Amino acid sequence: MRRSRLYLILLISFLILASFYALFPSFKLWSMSEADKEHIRSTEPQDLINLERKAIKLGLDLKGGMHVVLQVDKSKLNENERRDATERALEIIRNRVDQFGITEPLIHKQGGDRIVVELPGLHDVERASALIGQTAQLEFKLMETPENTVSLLKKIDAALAQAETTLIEEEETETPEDTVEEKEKESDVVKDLFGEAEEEPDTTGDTTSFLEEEEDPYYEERPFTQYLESYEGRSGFMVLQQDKPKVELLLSRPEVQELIPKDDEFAFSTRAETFQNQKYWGLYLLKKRSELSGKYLVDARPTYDQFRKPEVQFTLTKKGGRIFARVTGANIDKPLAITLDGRVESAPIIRSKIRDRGVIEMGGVASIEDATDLSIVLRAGALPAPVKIIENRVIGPSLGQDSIRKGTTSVIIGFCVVLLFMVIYYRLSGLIADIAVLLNLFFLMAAMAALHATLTMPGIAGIILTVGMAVDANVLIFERIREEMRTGKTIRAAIDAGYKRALTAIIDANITTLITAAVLFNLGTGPIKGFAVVLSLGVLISLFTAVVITRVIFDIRKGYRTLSI
Amino acid sequence: MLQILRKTNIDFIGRRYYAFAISGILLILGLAAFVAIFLGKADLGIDFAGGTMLQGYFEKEVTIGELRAALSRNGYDEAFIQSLHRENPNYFMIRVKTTTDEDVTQISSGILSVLAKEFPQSKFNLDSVDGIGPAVGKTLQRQARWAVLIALAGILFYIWIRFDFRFGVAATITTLHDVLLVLGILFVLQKDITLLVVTALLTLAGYSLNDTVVLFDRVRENLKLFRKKGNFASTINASINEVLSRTIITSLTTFAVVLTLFLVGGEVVHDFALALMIGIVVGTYSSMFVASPIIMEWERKSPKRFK
Repeated sequence: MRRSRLYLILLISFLILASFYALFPSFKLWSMSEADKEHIRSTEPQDLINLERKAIKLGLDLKGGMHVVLQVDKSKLNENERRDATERALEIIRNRVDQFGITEPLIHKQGGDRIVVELPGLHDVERASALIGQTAQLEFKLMETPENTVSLLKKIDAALAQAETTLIEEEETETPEDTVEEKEKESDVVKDLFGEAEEEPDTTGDTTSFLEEEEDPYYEERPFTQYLESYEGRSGFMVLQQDKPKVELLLSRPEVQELIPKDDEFAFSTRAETFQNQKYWGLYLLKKRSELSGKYLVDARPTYDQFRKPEVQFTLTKKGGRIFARVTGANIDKPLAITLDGRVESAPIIRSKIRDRGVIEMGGVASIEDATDLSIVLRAGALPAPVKIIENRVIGPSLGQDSIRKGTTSVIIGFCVVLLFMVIYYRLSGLIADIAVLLNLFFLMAAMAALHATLTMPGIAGIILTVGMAVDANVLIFERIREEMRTGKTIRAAIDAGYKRALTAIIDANITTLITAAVLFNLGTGPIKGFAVVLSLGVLISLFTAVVITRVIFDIRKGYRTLSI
Repeated sequence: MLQILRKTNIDFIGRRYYAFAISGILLILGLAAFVAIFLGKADLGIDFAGGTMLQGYFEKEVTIGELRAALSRNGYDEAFIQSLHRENPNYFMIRVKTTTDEDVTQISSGILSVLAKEFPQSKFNLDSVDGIGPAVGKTLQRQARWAVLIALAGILFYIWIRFDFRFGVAATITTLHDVLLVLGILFVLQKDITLLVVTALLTLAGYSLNDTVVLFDRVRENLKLFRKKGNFASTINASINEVLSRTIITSLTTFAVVLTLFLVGGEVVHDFALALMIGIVVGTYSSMFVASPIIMEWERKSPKRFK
């Protein structure tokens, strides 16, 4: 008996020391100020990375960052490509993310066709989702000739005008308000067109002249082209931001789809541009045929042009260079559209024959980040299949800080309430139970650090819950001891009976909690997993602290004449 | 010795019919909530239903009315808007349940561009985004349904091993009763059923069993002692009275910490803590007024222990 108690005391001391060891990096990291961290980052970056690795990991909901689930669309792949499409997509995304420079990104497969990407500390949603989600299929396509474009647009107008007159009786839903609004837009367009009237006609795919001829106050007769504007020196058309959905809708109508030649397609630009205080999207009529694809690309780098506008310089393989030289040589003074995932990045006019080095202009609104990101996705290669973001969660740094602060406050308050209650109610025995609860929390945090578990906000809730539940074992034991003492047993006998009789109830009650925790671990997302981990560790540790550790202390108290309980 | 309760002698079993009436009414609510969830009528959170939720604040004053008007002008008329007052009076939560099969980021960027257009003088600073596509929501719904079933089956299985058949059935009915009751109350309070609420319900299933298990443990022990004398009802009553102070103390400490979480834990865990708080009360009540009377009624209909 005495010897086994000695072993237990040794074991407990060892566990306390081991916990200090496991928690030391977390203490060190959390007590560091931002300035200290910055200092280490600039002098010994590896030290900080090691420290972060050994400390308790904070979940995205506490640290802030981005959680994205992507679905790989395999519908257009053949049997062979389908097999490892997700793995290849995962590798390419990993490549892109690595180049983006985020510490400890987490990228893994989920099921057969989903990829989970976790980017701690990243908050620029648009930028990150563009970087991850782009298929990055780079293609060079020629534009349809101005003559063919004009004739197609005329046909579309005519077809839509006809469809509208047949529909007009049925469709009385259009409110006067809408009509006024459309008329206003119409007058805007007309004004713009007047403004451009003095410009000389251009042969390079500019269709300004066509729209000018069609200055018609009756917008009904131009149901489609009323939304298009054209400027000298720019290839393609421009569509006002608010008109874009309407234009997309019109283009998707079957009578319009029918008119578009089989080898042509309409494509919007990759981003909107601000022009005369209005946001515009580019719209282009392209030849479907891809003259050259991104697979011939060897390198891409962001640079600035002579006007300090960002652009991407690319280098092609030898074979790619030969193809490019042939295409550009045969189409001098015509626009060449550079498309990314079917959208037009830019459509510069070919001024001379280009071989293996070229430049992708990015327009005035693009930033150097845009150019950097485009270079990254071009270098990492195209995804084997398009991906779609099906889940997207972003937590800002202030919200994470807020959660940490509130979580810590609730843990401290909850803790104090329980500790105080136990001391008041059970006096010295309550103090012993409090030691057990404190050790429980201490061991729990140490186990989290040692197991590289992630602490989340629901996890903090789990800690609080554990504190509330951990005292239960001691309450059971103490109440039983009180009962046994009431029946007139000696202190020694009451303590023995109390521990022995309460034990089955304690174990049964805790195992049911463990069962639910195990189920929760397999349910859903990171935060819930964090809760399940804390709950099961907390319950297991509480069995040890509340039953074994307090028993050691009570064994010593057995010899006393009175028991404070 | 400080005691909340002196030795009590409350006739729990005698009051079982009142308890059956109360539980019956609340159970109907719970079942209604359960059916509503399966029919898709209940307020499922965006975790399960899919949708987009944005949180953030305006730099200058924007009222909730202005925000609502601006969003509905731009086609988001079903947006749910809540003012959060998180250190900033212009802090809002905007939630839309519309989902598309397209990229989920499109909805959040759509809303953000509306805000930028409608409030050009007051920049909206985004704090968090949750965008969940319909496919993810469905997966999570399926997972949650399985989780609930597996957890209940696991608990039932364990109780059957540890106790006999009647105790196992009574404990399982009590657990189901607790979960349904909490679900019903949340339904009446019009709380969204989110992944965290389901987590709370499952935690509760494990926790509320604690009380029942502790009580049954005592009933089992007393049945052995009183085999020769006394009757079944008084044995159960005595057992409930004996563990009563423990039940109340544990419930109080757990309730106190969850209340702290509810009050200072913040928005994220608010409903989670609420579900647990209701659950602790319900779980304590049910171990005394539901689990034991079931055993009692069963014994009365077909006596097994006291012939």
